Amino acid sequence: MSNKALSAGLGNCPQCHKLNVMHTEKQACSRCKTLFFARKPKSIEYTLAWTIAALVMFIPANIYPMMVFYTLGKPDASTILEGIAIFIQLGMLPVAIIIFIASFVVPLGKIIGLFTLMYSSKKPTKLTLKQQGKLYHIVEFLGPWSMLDVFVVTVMAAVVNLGFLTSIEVASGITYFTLMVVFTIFAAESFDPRLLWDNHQKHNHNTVTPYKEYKNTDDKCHDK
Amino acid sequence: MTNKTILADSKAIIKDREGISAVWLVPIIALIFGAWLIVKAVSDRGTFITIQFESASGIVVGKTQVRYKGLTAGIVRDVEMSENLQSVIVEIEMISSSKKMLTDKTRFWYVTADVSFQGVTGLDTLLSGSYINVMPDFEEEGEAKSHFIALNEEPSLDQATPGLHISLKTKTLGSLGKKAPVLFKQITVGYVAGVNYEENSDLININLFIEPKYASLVKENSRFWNASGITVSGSLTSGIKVHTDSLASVIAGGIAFGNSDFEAEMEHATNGQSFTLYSDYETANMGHEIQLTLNWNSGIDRGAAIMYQGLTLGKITDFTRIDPLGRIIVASAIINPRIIPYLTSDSQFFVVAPKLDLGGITNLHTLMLGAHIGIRPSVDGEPLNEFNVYNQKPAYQYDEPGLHLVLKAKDVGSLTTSTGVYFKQQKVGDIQAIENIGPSEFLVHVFIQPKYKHFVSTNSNFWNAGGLRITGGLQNFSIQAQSLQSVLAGGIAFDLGKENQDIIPKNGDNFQLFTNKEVAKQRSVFNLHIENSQSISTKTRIMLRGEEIGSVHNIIHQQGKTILQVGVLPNYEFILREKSQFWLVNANLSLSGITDTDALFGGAYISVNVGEGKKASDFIVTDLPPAKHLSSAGLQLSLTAEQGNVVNPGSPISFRGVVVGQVDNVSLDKTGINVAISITIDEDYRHLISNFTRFYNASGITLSGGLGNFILKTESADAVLKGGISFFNPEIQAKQSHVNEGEKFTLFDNINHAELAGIAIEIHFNEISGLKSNLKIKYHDQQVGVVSRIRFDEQGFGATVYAFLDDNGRKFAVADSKFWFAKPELALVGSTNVSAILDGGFIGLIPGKGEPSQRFKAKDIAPVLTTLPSGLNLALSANSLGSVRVGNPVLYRQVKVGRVIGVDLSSTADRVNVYINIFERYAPLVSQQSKFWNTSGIHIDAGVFSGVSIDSESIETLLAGGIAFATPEVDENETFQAAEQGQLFNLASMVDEEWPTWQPKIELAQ
Repeated sequence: MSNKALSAGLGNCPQCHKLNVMHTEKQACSRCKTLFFARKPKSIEYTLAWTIAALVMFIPANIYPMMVFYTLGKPDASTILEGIAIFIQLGMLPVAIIIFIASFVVPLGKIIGLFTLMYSSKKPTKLTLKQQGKLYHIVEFLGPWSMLDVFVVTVMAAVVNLGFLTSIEVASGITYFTLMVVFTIFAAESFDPRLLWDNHQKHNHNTVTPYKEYKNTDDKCHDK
Repeated sequence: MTNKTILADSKAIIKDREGISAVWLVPIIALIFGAWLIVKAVSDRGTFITIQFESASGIVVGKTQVRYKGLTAGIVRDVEMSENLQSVIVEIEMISSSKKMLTDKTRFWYVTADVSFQGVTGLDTLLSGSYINVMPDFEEEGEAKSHFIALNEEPSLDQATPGLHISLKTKTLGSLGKKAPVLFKQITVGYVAGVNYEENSDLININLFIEPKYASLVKENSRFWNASGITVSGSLTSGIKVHTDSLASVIAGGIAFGNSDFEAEMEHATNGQSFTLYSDYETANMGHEIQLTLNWNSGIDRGAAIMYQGLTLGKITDFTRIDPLGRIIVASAIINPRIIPYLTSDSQFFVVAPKLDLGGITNLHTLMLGAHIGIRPSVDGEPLNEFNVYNQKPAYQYDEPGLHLVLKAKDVGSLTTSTGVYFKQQKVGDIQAIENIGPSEFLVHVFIQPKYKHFVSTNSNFWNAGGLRITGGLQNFSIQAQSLQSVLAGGIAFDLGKENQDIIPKNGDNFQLFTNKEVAKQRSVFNLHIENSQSISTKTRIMLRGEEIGSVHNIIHQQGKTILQVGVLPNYEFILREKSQFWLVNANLSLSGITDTDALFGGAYISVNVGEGKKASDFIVTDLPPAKHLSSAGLQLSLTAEQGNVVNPGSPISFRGVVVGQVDNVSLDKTGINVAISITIDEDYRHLISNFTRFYNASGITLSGGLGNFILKTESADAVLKGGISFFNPEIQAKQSHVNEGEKFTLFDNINHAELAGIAIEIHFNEISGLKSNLKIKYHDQQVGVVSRIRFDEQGFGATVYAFLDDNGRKFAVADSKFWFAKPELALVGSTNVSAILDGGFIGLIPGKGEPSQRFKAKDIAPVLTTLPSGLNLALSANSLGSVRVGNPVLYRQVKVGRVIGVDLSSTADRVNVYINIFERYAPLVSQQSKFWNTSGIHIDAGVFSGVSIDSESIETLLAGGIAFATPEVDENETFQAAEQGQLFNLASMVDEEWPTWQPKIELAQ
């Protein structure tokens, strides 16, 4: 017996979180009347699409400069990696690490994580279910935080405007970076982690998870 | 269990939509976008080239750009060292569109900030960073290249740039550099694009770029000159000028150009044309080159100006040849093209150098600026470009308006070229040149200015007027000078010549230059032959009767004889007659007198006797004066004198200062005692001589005698100096008889004798002390005669005095006249003959009556005077003389009314007779009863009881004694009886008390 809700014929309403008796894959919640699915339809497909898009956007985001510093009229454009290199050259290692992590590792990690999750939802993996779940949560959590980089750039471009002396303009790289982040957010949003369980159960149906069996104590059906 | 099976009681069959959902568009679009980006990046990828630089300072990878005209054409991608570690290879990515223009003609150079005197460039690189500038190959003609070597500096302007590209050739660059401005009328119209040195022509080539809009200003004959810096020029006439073209040219140098005003406009210059760069404005404006050959010590240096009338026409640029053997220097000069028409074979160049001499400083400006070359231009002749430069201004050519004359001279003294020629002390011309054509022969070329031409006539005399002329003898002393300048520097003067000459001399006429004015005036020239010319020089005078009439001009020695060329003033031409005689006179100095002071002071001279006959011009000079023919014109007389050296033959005979004759001969007379002087009185003055004429020696200074012999001439000092013989005609009523030829006269020693020589008398004195010649003979203090000489008695101790009584005193030469020798007496009571103290005594005279006589015997003592012609003469009789002396006063009431005129013993010698004379006016005072007493001295009466009484009449009587008298009153019935002439009274020795109390009233005449 799995501990999936779906295995018990139950489904969670994403809106009001009422555990509904699933009769069909798509039904209305008995409480909030929101149409919901037992499992997100074409989740992998969407996730894959978005992830690929994000990956595609990741490349120009790193190639093209993020912003252009104009000092005394002289433009000085730098990409993410160039910026990191500059900070390392400047000796500001912590800043470099932060930027590296925030602007490079995290997005890339997210993309890789998403691919991993998608893979995990189809094929058997070495990752335990718990790890997969953790991974999903991390991805989902960190996603929006990547936008911080974008906000930094935009704020700087708006604030550092000393005319000819120093001014910052956004360059094309930021666009791609933003798109990439947005795509990863959509990708993470599209992914239904319950598929992981499904996959896990499928490939590991022999394994009885020492979860408690919950019985439906609610005999009465309140959704009439 | 599938999801589907788990679901219970599904009411509907829900089928999933099949197919790919639309979300896949997103990645697809993203991929497409990414692919497009890639494609774009790849296609935009520029050409990679490598450039070799010397150093990569300032080149930043990824930042340093390659720019063309300010636009980014590429960017540095990589910098690395070259293999030989000598240079730096920079890898550049150029924009793709420039690929075709990257050929071997493409130039790259590094641009960085550059601040220098040439200018400040590339300052923008301080902000934007240095960059690499590229000059691509526009025509894209060269081969494609990918490795370049950068230039060290910006390349020269491309010929293709619109505008004018010309080049200048110059020897030295001056302070010009790249980017130095090219100025036209001080507007920057272009700049120096590049400078390079051409070896084969040894010139520096300067490439100029003129902006298109000014390109038409440059014509084919424009001149370029170096306008760098500050030009300071100055001259005495134009002042100091500081000139700059523009501030930039001051600092950075610059080239200016201009077009000549007077040259024709030519076409515009075209690209590639070559010009010469002149060193400065002046040089540029004088284009024409000529060659000048300078003499060895001309004093001209490089840069010396060529001037005409104070204007600079050109200058010496360089010396092309220096030839020590030929002693010439060839210089090249540039001349303002304006005067090219005057550069002909007739033009003359000469050196104008400062001249400092006593005549003044000429060419003062050359002292400051150095010698320069002057030009006397002429349009005649063929055009020439090579000239000789004379060391001084050549003589005027004869075609110069004015009068050009040639003077011959034996001696030029202090004359030099440019010495002035004067007429009446006004400068009318100058000496152009002095030629030396022989040992003592000079040709002086003079030039008279046109407006003074008419002063010269063919008879004009020219003489050397330099210096001071001090002429004259004792009687006339003159200092002459033409002008101060001629005093110092010499000069030539001339006169008009004979009056009324209409002949104007022509150019080139010859004249004689005399050594001085006097010589010039002595135009009548003749010859004198002389054996011994020792004392003769060219200054020896010819004198006629004491007047200088000519001088010796020249002495020619010929075969042992000497010929003198003599000139006399034209007025005296009449002396040149056959029978004229010339002789040499030397000064005669002896202790008894100096004769002929003229010869003494003026040197020996030649005297002349005018003769008759035809005109002659050759004469013989004798040493001794010749004898004269009696038949010669004039009255010939003979004078007898004791001394012969009073006159010389030729000395003048003058009468009242006018020369009326001359002394012919001086010789001893036949007796050998006296000297006979033959004289001739000119015909015109014959009538002056009568038998009463007295000749006297008026010459020289006669030294003789002592105090009594000091002669004060009444004639002028002239006569003292001039000497000679004069004569004097006394005023005599007697009839004058004719004087015969040869008659004898006496020559008196001096004028005094002559004037006083009325009648000759002889007086014999026994006492000789005090006697000497020239003693005066006085009658009552009036000189009436003079002693001529004294002859001592052969036996005995007396002397006979030969004297003259003048015309007034003639009448005293009667038998009764008394003569005595009066000595001066100084006595307490009466000084007599005080004036005789100076004279040394005199001979007194008391005239008498009787027959005329000429022999007298002098009295030993002065005769007593008993009567005077006027006044009342009385005689007083006294016991003894007491202190009564002649001259004592006679007093009445202490007023002098007469005097004692004589004292003598009475005829019986028992009493003394005192002869007194009462003045006419006081004669009535004496009556027959008057009493006379002796009041001399002081009467001191002293008695024991009466005391001392001192009594005197007057100071005079106190000192000298005197006689007083008193006249008693007349009773009423008695009449006043005046004393009679010669009445005798008694002279009391003392006064009676009563007498002074008388106070008669006597009327005196007023």
